[in-house]
Amino acid sequence: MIVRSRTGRALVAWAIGAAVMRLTLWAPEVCPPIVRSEARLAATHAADWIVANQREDGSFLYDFHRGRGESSGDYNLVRHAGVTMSLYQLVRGGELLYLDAAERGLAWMTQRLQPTGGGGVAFTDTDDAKLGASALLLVSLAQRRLATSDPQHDELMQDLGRFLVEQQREDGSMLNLHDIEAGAPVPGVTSVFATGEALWALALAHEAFPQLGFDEPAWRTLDHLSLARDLEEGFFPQPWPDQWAAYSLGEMAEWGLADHHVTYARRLLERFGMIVRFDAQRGSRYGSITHGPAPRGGGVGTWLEGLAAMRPLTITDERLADLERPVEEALACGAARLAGRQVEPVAGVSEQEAGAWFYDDLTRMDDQQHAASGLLLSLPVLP
Amino acid sequence: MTLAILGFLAAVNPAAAALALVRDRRTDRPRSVVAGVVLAAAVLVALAAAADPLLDLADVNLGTYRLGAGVVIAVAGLRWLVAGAVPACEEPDDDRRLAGFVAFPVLLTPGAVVLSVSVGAEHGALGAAIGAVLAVALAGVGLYLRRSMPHLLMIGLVRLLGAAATVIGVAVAVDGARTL
Repeated sequence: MIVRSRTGRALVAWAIGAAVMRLTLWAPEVCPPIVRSEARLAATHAADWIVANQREDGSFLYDFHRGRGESSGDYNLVRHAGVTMSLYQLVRGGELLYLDAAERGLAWMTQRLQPTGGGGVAFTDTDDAKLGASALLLVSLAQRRLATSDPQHDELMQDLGRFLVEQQREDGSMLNLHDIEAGAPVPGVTSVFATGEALWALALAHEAFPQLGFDEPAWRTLDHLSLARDLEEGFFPQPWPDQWAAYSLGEMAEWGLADHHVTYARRLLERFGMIVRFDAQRGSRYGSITHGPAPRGGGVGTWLEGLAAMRPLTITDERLADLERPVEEALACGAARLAGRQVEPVAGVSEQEAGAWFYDDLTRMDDQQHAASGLLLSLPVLP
Repeated sequence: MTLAILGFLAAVNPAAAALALVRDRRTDRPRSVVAGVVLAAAVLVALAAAADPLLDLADVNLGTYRLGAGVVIAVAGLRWLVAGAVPACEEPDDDRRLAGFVAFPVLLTPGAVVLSVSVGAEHGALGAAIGAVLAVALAGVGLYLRRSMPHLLMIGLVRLLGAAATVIGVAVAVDGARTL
């Protein structure tokens, strides 16, 4: 082989390689500018969608397909509790306008309470009570208490907390279902979502009632999430991007996190950051082809929730101090991209579409829930 | 720093460089080899020094860049590991052309180029310069002394360094994926 041909071949190979890399892994990350007022407006538009589509009885529109102009008619108690929780977060964030809708959502839940075998109370309308529904009801009540300082639901909060503890196993993992008739947890069934939801609820319960000992089960579940859950559930890559665990870590930060909790927090932040970066690469002209379609609004919202919930840790815990600026950059980028994909509430847009995020022409109540929460919690990092 | 030096050694692969030219005596031209080494080192150091502006220009976060850089290094390493060194070339008569060939593609490998930017952005130009210059200089020495080295040993070394590049590339990619 002569030198010239080898050099020429190398040049061609380099050019092809560089082009492939630029189209895929090194695609440009597009983060549009966004200011605080724009993000707040997007969060309130999302909440407006929830309120505009709330029914008289306090339940919400579950989903809407804009192509067919109809809803599936499904409903989900966990998502109802999550949406109500998000409205209380907005109230806590100064958007008092949403208190009435949140209260009606809460009333719908308090009409569906059942006593459990261990002296607790579960939010359910079937014989199998889901852990996540009660956990998010408890979180809603805690957010409400923080927003209004009203203690009228304290007893219910404590009963819900007792139910969560009933569902806990020795290793800190949580059983997802409770057989109301038998008065016992259903063995062997866990949920990747509900464990983190329950942990956050237990953490908030301890913050509200420190004398009742909810911290001990909370630590146990945090240990399980930090050390074992992802392995046991076989997630790849790890850690599973669990925004509920992130909320919990943020809440428990002042209790004094151990090194393995901080390591878990770091890994979670890294994971959320990686997903936000990948999503930002969809912003290039060819990004939707090489990186697939943009995810649901609810998906992006959970990344923002996860990053924002743990951001205070990067400020208060020196073990994570190096992540403060990158977390802020990722939050700002994710918030801008999320807000940019929202259907603007302009003349001629129906109230089932205005303020929503659609994926395959479908929006679901938790799209607006997570987006509203994520955008609201991102505000402090925005100019 | 040690890791950066090891990374550059694996990414440049001095053993593969030493096998890049045929083993004839026509081209014992140290000035050409030195010129090629200097040129390659200068390019790598310049890339490391310009790492931050380059990433800004490309609109790519350091973590994203390192993920891709790791893949490039790993793929180049796999190629050495599986296929061995690229067949040797006959040396060009022209001194300048020989110097250019030594610089590219012999010493300026894809792995070394992407690693320069990565190390430059993460640890600064000085750290990258030390690693890059050491690796390139070692490769230049190997290239010049190629006839005095056991051929079989060099072939084995190519694959060994290829394996090292693969491992280092995967580590860089994983680290990049985890970088916020």
